[in-house]
Amino acid sequence: MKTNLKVLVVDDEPQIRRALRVGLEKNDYRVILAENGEEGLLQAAAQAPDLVILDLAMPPGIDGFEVCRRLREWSRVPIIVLSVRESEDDKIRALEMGADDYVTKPFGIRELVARIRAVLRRTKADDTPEESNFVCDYLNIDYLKRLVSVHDAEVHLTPKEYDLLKYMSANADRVLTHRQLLTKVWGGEFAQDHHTLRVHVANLRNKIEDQPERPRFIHTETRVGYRFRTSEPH
Amino acid sequence: MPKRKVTEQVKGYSVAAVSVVITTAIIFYTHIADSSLIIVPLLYLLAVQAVAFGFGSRAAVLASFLAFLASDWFFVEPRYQFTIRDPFEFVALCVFLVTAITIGQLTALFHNRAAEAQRREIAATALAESSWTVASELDARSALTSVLKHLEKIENVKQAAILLRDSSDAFPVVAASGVAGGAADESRISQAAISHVLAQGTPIGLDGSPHWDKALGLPALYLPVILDGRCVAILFVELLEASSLNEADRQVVESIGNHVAVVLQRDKLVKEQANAQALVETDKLKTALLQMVSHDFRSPLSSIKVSVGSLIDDEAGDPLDRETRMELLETIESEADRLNKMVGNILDLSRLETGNWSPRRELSVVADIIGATLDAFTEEQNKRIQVHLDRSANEISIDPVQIVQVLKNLLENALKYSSPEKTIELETAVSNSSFIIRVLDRGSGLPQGEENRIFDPFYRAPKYRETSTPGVGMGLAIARGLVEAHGATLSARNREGGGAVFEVVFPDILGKVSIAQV
Repeated sequence: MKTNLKVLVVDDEPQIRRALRVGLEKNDYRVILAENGEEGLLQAAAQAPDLVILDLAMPPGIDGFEVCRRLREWSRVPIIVLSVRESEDDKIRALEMGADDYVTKPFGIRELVARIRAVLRRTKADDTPEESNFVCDYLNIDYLKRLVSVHDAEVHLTPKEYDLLKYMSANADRVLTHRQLLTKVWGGEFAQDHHTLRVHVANLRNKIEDQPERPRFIHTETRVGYRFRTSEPH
Repeated sequence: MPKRKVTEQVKGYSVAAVSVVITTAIIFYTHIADSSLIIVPLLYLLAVQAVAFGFGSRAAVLASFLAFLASDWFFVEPRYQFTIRDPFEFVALCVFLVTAITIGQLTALFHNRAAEAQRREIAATALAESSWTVASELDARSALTSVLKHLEKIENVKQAAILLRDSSDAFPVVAASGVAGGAADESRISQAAISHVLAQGTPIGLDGSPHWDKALGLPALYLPVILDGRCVAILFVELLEASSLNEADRQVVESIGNHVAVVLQRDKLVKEQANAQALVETDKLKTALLQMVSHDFRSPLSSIKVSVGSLIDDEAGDPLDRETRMELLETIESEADRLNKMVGNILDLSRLETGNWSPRRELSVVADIIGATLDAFTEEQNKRIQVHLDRSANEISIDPVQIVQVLKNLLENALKYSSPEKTIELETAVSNSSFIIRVLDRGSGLPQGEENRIFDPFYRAPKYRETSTPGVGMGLAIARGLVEAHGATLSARNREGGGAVFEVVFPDILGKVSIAQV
């Protein structure tokens, strides 16, 4: 039984393409393959995929960043990029060019599928929660009443802390860059004020996490940003 | 004859004339000649001697003749005419003239010798100091500058510079001394002269011929510094206007040229030695890496291959039970992770060894760093790790990626070398102005006498070398490298009651730590 969801995989390595095709088909996605940037762009136009998986490190010509940039000129299709460890700058660059998330090589199929689901879950509106209530483990957010409770006990958040938590939970399981969070919660003129963000995240963790040094919800993506996780990673 | 010498000579003659006039005036107006005639020639001799001492032999001869004429005119009867009545007086005057000239010449000669001796002494001192400089200064550039300083002691030198040949065969100034407090007036350096020196391989201006002075419009020397048959530098010396160097000073300039050659030669050798040393170190690392790739990479690869082989056989019709299949698959996954970690470690280590991994500091929340570290461990492992944070330090300026890597490596090490029922402690503390992170375990402790060696790349404690406990001795080496790149220290010691303590100390960060606000 296959869903109607089409995933376009753009990667120059045949082994990765093969492994991704097998792995994704097993998870009920229809897979389209492209072996370079040009083909990727053509396929994206011709097949109208629901999601694109894009390798950043491709041989010269049209690389992953270029594909990302050109795709965004006419399409809002979700993009997940594949990158390598220690390349935070590349990750940030891709995210700012319009990619929705990234997966670091080497990755497992479970991790990739989880990211795909998170990205697909939220593609329409990105700052309005879909439901009036958000429940995750021992955390409960009532968007209507602006109430947050932990283990059924109400906690008091400052307005900015609440806005931050609301935006993160509405975009659960997706990486949110420092700039994204600062722009959405504080406004464009605060885009570089990483310190404000760090302080608020630390305070928020102290209020909603059982063990702030072992966060259950708000995870740090070092140098990139934060990710609100709905499922436990291990 | 240079203009300078002519003016000097004219001055000498004038002084000679003036001194004779003054002496005559003194004798005339004091009427000293009336009481004692003998005083007259003696006073003139004194004047001649003074002129000889100050202005050399020619001026002394002139003074002698003038004194001869003056005494005839003023003091020998009949006075105020050049005739002499008494033949004895004539003889006496002639004897006076000869004596005056002789004394003048002897005085001048004596004075010249003394001056010459003094110049030689200055030259010798300059050379001795210059060679001492060559021997004592390690850095080539400062050695060259000091060598040049010694040229300043030489008379008539206006400025000097060393022009070092670069890779594009240009000759930029690398050291200078002289007029403008050490900065070379490069407009005085002629490219034509440099080209000539290069083409001919011979110095300009060292032979004292005025040809080049005219051609260049100023008196200067260009001395090629030859090393292994190649002109590697040029010593440029500009002299004061319309002056030249005497023989002794020319020799000094030539010797200083040789000292420049010695400095450059030694610099070359030092650089070659450093390169050789670096090559040896790189070689050692390469050997160790190759050993690791050939030995340590093969073991996870083997288990992957064996497991996959069994699964293929399973498909081919030799059925395995579900549990065994799962076990094989889990082996493949964990061995792949292990390979990935090893690749990451090799990358880290080679970046550290080449020294191009400087921390990208940012003000980081301590709890964030700890959180990101613990995130990398499984739930099972996390249960063994106890965390105690000193809440008085909230933020610290570090490279978060690198310090997370350090803590991961330390925790991994602690987990690996202590039994599964023992807990590991991770704690932070603030002491004086330092921020401290400690990892404490109840494992087997550090090998006696080798407490510090555990941080050497590829070191493994003797009792683990041939065991199945995985590891290739890179984690701690990387941790120390990263910590030191932060200007912090990482040390290890045995813990009271068994186990080990690893301690990272970030010194003097009080200003960079922000105190908790909650």
